[in-house]
Amino acid sequence: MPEPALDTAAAPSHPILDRLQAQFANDVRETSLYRGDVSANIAPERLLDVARFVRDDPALRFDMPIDVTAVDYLGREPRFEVVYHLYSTEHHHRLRLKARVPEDNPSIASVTPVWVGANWLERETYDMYGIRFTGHPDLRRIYLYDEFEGHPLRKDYPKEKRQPLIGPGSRRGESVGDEHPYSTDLPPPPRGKGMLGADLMRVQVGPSHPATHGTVRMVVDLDGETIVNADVQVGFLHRGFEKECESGFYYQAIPYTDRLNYSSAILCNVGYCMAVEKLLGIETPPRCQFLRVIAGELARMADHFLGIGATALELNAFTPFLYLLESRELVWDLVDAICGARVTSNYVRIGGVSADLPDGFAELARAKIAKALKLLDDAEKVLTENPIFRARMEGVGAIPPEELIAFGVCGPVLRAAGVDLDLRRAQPYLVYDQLDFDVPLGTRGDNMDRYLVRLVELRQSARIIEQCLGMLPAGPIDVDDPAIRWPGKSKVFGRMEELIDQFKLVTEGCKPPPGEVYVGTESANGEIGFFLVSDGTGKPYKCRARTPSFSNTQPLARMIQGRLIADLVPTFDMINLIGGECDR
Amino acid sequence: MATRVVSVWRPRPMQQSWGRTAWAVVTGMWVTNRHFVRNLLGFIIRKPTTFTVQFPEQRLEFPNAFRGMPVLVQMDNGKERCVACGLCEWACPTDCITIFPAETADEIERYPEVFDINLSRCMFCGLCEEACPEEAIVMSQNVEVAVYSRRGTIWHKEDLLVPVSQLGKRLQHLHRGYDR
Repeated sequence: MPEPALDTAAAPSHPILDRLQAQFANDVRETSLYRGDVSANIAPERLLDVARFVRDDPALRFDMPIDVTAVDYLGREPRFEVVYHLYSTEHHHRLRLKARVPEDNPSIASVTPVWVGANWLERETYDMYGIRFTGHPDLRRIYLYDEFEGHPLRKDYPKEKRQPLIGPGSRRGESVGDEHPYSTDLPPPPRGKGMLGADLMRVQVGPSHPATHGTVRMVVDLDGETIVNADVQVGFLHRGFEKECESGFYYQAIPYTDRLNYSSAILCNVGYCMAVEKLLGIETPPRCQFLRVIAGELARMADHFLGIGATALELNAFTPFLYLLESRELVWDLVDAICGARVTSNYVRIGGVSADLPDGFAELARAKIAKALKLLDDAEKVLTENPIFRARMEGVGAIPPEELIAFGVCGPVLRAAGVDLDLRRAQPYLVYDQLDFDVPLGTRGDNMDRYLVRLVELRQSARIIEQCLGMLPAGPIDVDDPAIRWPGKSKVFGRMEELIDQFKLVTEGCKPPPGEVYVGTESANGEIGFFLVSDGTGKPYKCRARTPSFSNTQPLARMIQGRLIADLVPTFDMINLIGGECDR
Repeated sequence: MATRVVSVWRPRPMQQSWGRTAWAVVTGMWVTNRHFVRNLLGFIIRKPTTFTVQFPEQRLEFPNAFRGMPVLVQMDNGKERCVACGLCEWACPTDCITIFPAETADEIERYPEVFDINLSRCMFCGLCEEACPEEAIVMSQNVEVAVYSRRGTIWHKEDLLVPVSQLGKRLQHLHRGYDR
């Protein structure tokens, strides 16, 4: 039974914790400052008060819910720990709130009245751990289906467990007992609520629809062509990423992170490996950091090329789609040359990267990126001022920035609304503090701004790569520690000690000390964060991925409410939902 | 070095700039037609400017680092280099490798009696290659692994053996990283 040994011996002092303790002296049970992560364990009864306080207090201002999840400490009482990650867009600091709930009555107050974006996150936590959030407006399962038995991320849920089949003759529609009191079936649309007393029409968009890339189902109630209500349902690509990570060594999860955001896989690799490195408390050599930035920015370019191209395609502009896919192909040639695969790159390693740049990479990169940007110019000439494109994009999908923040939206969608939040600038990691680049902000927050922000980001990524290629230092690409990164093969082939190191590392994995960390990095669509809990063994006790597509898709229903059904398509596209990342 | 916040340029409202909007349509037509004429000319003079590769008649040249399916390295004497230590089996995230070791009277005593890779599970991640202490399992450049049956997705030792000479590019890539 793992007991997370956080350094709680001496109560750590931190302005955020001091402020919290001054207000809630008796309800803050435990605080910690492990690896720089500010964390406070609070009494579950006072959760809502604490949440309101940390949101409204001018010195704290935690206005953005980054993540809600739980950790199952099986065998310990109280068994579950609900974990809230918060971010302040004003002060750019982070806080982790934790509250323990017992096994026999796993319920806690919902924080949706404080942060509306906690809605889906709490639904996911309910789905995966069976924790009931009292006062939640809509506590349905989000990823799994009604008939699913049990809660898969609980530690006593076996990975191999089979589930009942659903289909004709199954238990669909029946009450599934006390275990799942909430059905995912929607109530029928209210009758006679449309124009002139007509009935609303319910239309299912998706899960497989030509206008949606990625499998997502949108149930829209229409009055004529106006969307009255929309329910966005995700989870069709759910494959148990977190359970899978918990059952393998740390290094074995890296290929799985490729499959989160499959159009910018390297950025997910980087986020995961940085989280493990923080857990281990190591720093990677400078050359490795530059390589990660180069590869990551290439991936960001590929993602934006696809995002803009797919939007153009779904608005019937087929030609720019072809130009942009050609651009992306050129970028992927570079990714391929670095790491050997276009999509499933599997490039970054814990404490290093898998390979150095190939010979002559700088010239190749300059030539290919110049060609890709030329094609981008062409696509831009076709799209940006085209009246049809503008009519579909301008003024569509905008909601106020405060609301976006409360939903936990990040990345280009948030920056298009004029909020200066780019983690590469706000909390520089790797070598981003040595680089010179612009962070584009929009003014109106509509789809046009989201498109224009992505255009500028593409060119800035190219600029970052150019700078990195010029500044690339010589030196090792891995940490020199045989307990973390396996030794060079020439030593393994010839020497006994290194051979033993290799055997130990492969069969036991690297072993971070017990503790928990959260690392958020800026991926192409926003903040991708990994929350890792280690119990001192070679496998993560808990590996949670906070993905931008999930939080960005949540306000989609709100964005398209009251708009025409045709506005659904560009809004959905500019959110750039990546199914693998949203559904994990 | 510093980051800077910039505001994106936005076209003026359409109602105020009809001339520019009309010009944008003309520009768009110019761009698409330029591409069309260039590709057409390339087609006529038999120097294609299009990006598409006519597979299988034409094939792309893969970079040295390319990761195709994992194969077993065959030594000059026709035997596998593998000593059945099982590290690739450990490292594989998807458990797609099955090894039964055995022993012989040869110079290298251990060898795999059975070495199966289930390619329907394999995700070409290359962790087996990194774990291997003998350079016995290597990612090849082969990606054409389609089969007619599920049984055919399981590749046995005989199918997996590839002579060293055919793995040059990937080995060249690996050797660059050996002395780190």
